[in-house]
Amino acid sequence: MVLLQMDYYSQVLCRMTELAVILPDRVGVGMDGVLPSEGDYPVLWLLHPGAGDAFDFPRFSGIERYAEKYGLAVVMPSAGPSRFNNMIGHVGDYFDFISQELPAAMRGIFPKLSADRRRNFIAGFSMGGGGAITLGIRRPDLYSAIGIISSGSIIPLEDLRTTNGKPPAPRGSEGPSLSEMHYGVKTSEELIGGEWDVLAVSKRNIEDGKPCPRIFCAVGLSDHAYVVGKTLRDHFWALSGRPYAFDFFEEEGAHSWDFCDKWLASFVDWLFEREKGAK
Amino acid sequence: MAFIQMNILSRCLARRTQICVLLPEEYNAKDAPIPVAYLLHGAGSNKTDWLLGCPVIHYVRQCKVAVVIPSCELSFYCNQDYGLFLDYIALELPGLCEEYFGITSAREMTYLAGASMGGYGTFKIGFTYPEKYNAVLSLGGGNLAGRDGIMPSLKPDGTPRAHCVAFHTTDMASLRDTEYDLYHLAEEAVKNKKPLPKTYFVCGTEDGNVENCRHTADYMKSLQGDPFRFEYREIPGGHDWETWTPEVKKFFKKIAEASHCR
Repeated sequence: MVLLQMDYYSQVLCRMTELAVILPDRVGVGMDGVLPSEGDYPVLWLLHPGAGDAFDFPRFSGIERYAEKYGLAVVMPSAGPSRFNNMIGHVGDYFDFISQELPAAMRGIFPKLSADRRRNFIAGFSMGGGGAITLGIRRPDLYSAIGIISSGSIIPLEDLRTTNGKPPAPRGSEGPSLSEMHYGVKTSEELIGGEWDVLAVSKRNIEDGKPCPRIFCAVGLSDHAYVVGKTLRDHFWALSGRPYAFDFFEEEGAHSWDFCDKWLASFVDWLFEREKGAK
Repeated sequence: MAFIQMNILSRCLARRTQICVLLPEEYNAKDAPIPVAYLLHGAGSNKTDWLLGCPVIHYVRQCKVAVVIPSCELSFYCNQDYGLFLDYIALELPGLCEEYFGITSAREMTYLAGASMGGYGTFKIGFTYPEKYNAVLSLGGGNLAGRDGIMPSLKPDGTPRAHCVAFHTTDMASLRDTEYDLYHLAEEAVKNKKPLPKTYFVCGTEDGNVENCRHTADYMKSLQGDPFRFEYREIPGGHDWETWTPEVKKFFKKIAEASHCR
């Protein structure tokens, strides 16, 4: 596998930003994965947790090994503490960056990244899982599968967390909270029914006849986000006819990279086993 | 604009190695291909040589050129037991750039330049695979092998200098007419009637290698019919980036002009 550290000028962010990219290759000690095909590479857009950056996954997980089994390319952007939303005041329009700019830009630079929705997936850990479900539900035309690992920051469920999992805002209690910076609201109750409400948008997608990505959700029983994951599952399982295939995985585990790493490996297997099973 | 540091596993080198790739604003592999320049570093350096030495990124932007910068240790860009560095640069790297970035390997769009050891490497690779490059540039790196006495073989402490280590001998005359001898490679390229790259060569007047560079230039210019369209220039300055940078800029301008003319 090939690991790239990339500094890229983003038109949306109006500045240089850092990405990590993994591209398929076939050799290496203990590596006997899929050969890069004649065709394109399936792509996983993988989003880091709060207070992380593009290099969290290469550093703390085995993503390169998991991707190698299937010849999967992985694109990991940096998005600060934004939750992969457009932050208030255009200090970082990460939602637009990831959903509008990055797909075309990355395919321009790496022409073998697949442009086929069926071969594009989005996932993340903690804040990144919140970003993945938000991006995946709001832009179901871009991604055919969503992976959520240990995620509590999902509107409108985030207040179900048993402890506050948010990283502290830079100015502490003196300055605006992250919610204010993310959405311009004091509490997430104000977001119910709006564009950031994953549950509401997921229903509108069905009414609008949009494609429904399949969803993988894993959360530890000791995770402060456990109730969020379970409630999210209940929502998707309650939708009439279950248009979103929602697979839920729980076991004893905490809000940790150990848990994330184990379930990230399962998620990647799930992506391709499901693909095989469907055909 | 994208500045990319890649970690790949090279088959030719049988190890992981680093490459820097610079792409201009809004690069898109599906657009018409843009020229590519492979830049080779000097002895004792690595991929940082060009990046810290001169403003490569300006040329990438202004001239719409892709730049690829590998790291090749103290190999002198030769195929060694511990790594096939020549094959890596000439054969593996272009294939990899095509696979991952859609970068062309068409001869008329492909350029090679090197500083010092990289200058020697540029000529060595450019003359071994002349059909692969439209033009090549060496900055202060001439023929190190094949002729005794032009360059010292030993350091003041009596140990062999880096090029002697890379060539496995201190007897440079013994390398005459071998794969290490640039004159031999140039003659073979001409003899085999291969398409030859336009060849630029620059050396500072205060460069410690200037005698060696003059010898190389004289030899290359003596080839009948000037098949490499060889251009040698001596400019005020030494064996350093301050001296070389304006020449690098000119080289990139020529690349841009050549790609506009097409």
